[in-house]
Amino acid sequence: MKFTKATVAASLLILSGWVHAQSPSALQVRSWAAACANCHGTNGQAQPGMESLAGVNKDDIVKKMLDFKAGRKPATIMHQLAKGYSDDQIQAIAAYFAAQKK
Amino acid sequence: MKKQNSTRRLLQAAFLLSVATLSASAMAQADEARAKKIVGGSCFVCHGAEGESSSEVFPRLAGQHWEYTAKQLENFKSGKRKSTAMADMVAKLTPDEMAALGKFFEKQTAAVEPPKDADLAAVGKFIYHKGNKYSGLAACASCHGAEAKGTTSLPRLAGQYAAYTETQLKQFNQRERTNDNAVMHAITSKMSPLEMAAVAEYLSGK
Amino acid sequence: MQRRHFLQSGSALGAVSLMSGCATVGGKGPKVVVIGGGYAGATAAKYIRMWSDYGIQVTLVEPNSTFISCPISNLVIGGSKTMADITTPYDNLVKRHGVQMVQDRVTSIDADKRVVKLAGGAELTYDRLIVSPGVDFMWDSLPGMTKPGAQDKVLHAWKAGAQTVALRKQLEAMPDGGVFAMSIPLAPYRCPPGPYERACQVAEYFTKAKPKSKVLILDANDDVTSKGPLFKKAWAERYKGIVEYRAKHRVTDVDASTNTLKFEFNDDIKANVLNVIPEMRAGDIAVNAGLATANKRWCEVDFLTFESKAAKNVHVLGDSIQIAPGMPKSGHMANQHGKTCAAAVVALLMGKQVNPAPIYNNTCYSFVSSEDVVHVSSVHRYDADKKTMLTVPGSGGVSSAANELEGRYAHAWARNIWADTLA
Repeated sequence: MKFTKATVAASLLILSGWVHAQSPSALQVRSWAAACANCHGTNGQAQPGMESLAGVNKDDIVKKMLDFKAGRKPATIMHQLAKGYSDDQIQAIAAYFAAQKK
Repeated sequence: MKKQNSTRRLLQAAFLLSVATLSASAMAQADEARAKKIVGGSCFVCHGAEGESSSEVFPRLAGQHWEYTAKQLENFKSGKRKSTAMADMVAKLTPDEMAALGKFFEKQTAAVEPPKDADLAAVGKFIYHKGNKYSGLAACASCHGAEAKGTTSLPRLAGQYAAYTETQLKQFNQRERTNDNAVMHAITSKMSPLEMAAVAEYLSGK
Repeated sequence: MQRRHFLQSGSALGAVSLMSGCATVGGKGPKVVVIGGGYAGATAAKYIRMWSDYGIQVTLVEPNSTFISCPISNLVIGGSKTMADITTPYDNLVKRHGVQMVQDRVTSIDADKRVVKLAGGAELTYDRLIVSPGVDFMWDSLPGMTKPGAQDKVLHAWKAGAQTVALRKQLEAMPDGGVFAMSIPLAPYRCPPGPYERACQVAEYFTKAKPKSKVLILDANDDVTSKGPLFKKAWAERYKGIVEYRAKHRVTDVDASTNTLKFEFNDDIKANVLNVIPEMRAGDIAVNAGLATANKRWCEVDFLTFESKAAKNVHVLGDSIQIAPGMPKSGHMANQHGKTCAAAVVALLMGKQVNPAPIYNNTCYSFVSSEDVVHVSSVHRYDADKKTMLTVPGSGGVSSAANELEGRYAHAWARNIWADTLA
């Protein structure tokens, strides 16, 4: 059986005494991030025509998303989507993509 | 003294040769790795991971001459060959990558199944090898080879999906296939729909 | 030897487990059967395989031999794309993810015995069943369409494939100066902006090839159901004199022999080419299996797991469900259902916690011409009090205007979602 990083992290969180609403489990973050795949590709590896997120520096993703959310960065759609997520969620999802294989 | 010099030179030459060979094969390996990455990133979705394309909607690329494949990719990029699906897929490919992809696919093989309609394929076999003297149609084999394996400048036709080959023949005729058209338009303008279907059926099982 | 944990359905969320995986000895992991290989079912199949580290067996039953996308199919009708452009093989699900594909149709579900029967005679057992059959049409609401030959002549082209090509051919054969009349049913229906996009595509074709022709939109709804101002602007500015939109026109019958539409409150309308989009409901198999709990039309589900409210161990996804507020019936949304359900099914079968706070988005791109696009987007978040998905306040929106950049994004969206769903 494969102990993926995600499952180990998840089990530690669960064993450490219930998952708090504030600190998302690794599996939860994986699910949140999967919602981006429709444009940015499975695991953030995009098809031609869209930016990949896999392996991109976490702080770069966070800055872009926060800029979209605040209206500092012009966008066609990303500002509308970024506003649906809390800053903590954005941090967690960005970390997930940063850890994906390019 | 002289003997030692020539030995040393020989050794130097051997060393340089092995480095050159190693780096050439290293470069070839790098090309293949790059091609695999591109194929595994996007081409595989329609053409299959080895260019075997399990769906007749998308052409088989396995075993095709690399020069021909690379040229088609370039033509898609420049718009010389129109394709609504391929244009975006090739937009960012460099000439080196196109060559690497061609070489990758050339090395692959795909299982060939016998044609579904043996009678139609038999008609196609006649046309492919003998042409049609009554309409002035030259034999396809005269350019594409008796085994339909093509050359570095002419595509391999053997083993390609009948539906795809037939569509290309129709498009050459209508000038909807906008590249490689000089000879192929003249050829296909002499082909009846039956001959196009028959030749395509025959080739799919070769 | 691996321990296997099966959660009893109905137990509380978050059964703590000590990392017991699925037993893969001899390939005998838990079994999931998926009915329907569309945006929801194919995505669910792939992600269940991936997220169970290939320990859960997945069998996908789909009648069609290849996937043909409804999104972008309007461009095939408009003439700027081909059928090949909207076709994607199923093979990668098999080769890359080990999904077992069965080309067949499910005829019955026994939720107690956990068995489905196929038209070809085979039976499949399951630990969890996913039902994602899309929509089927309520032909009885249009008696004339049940007459022999009517459905071959008057097309819906609301399931991409042969009818897409056939409708295009009908338009090509129409004489210049003719009328293309399209009827839209009362919401909810599959793909809210779809009909209005189709009107734009046909209108663009007419401006190029049949400039004296007309596109007549007969909408049962009170107004355009999606991106209204943007579509109306496109019709007024790009297709002036070609597109006419009439709201509050509910079709009650169709005479296929004379191409006549009959209405609840308005005079009959005759046209050269009719495109009737009938009222629709969850796919037949879902309805026949008793899963359509809402008006016998749509299937209510638990939005954390997509488990049916009518049957245990059965999950319903995609267009078939009774939607949450503001949740569209779109391919994009169906794909999101697939991933949310996949995570939940893997969790339930492998003894992990089901995500208590799913959050996902919808994006619908509509081509107002062959190049220019408008979009609508929304973000949906689980509300624990109301036990449903609600849109996140302040998020989502539409395009400020149609533009070509979004046209390129739309094509990239298509490529990426097809790969996410099928590769």
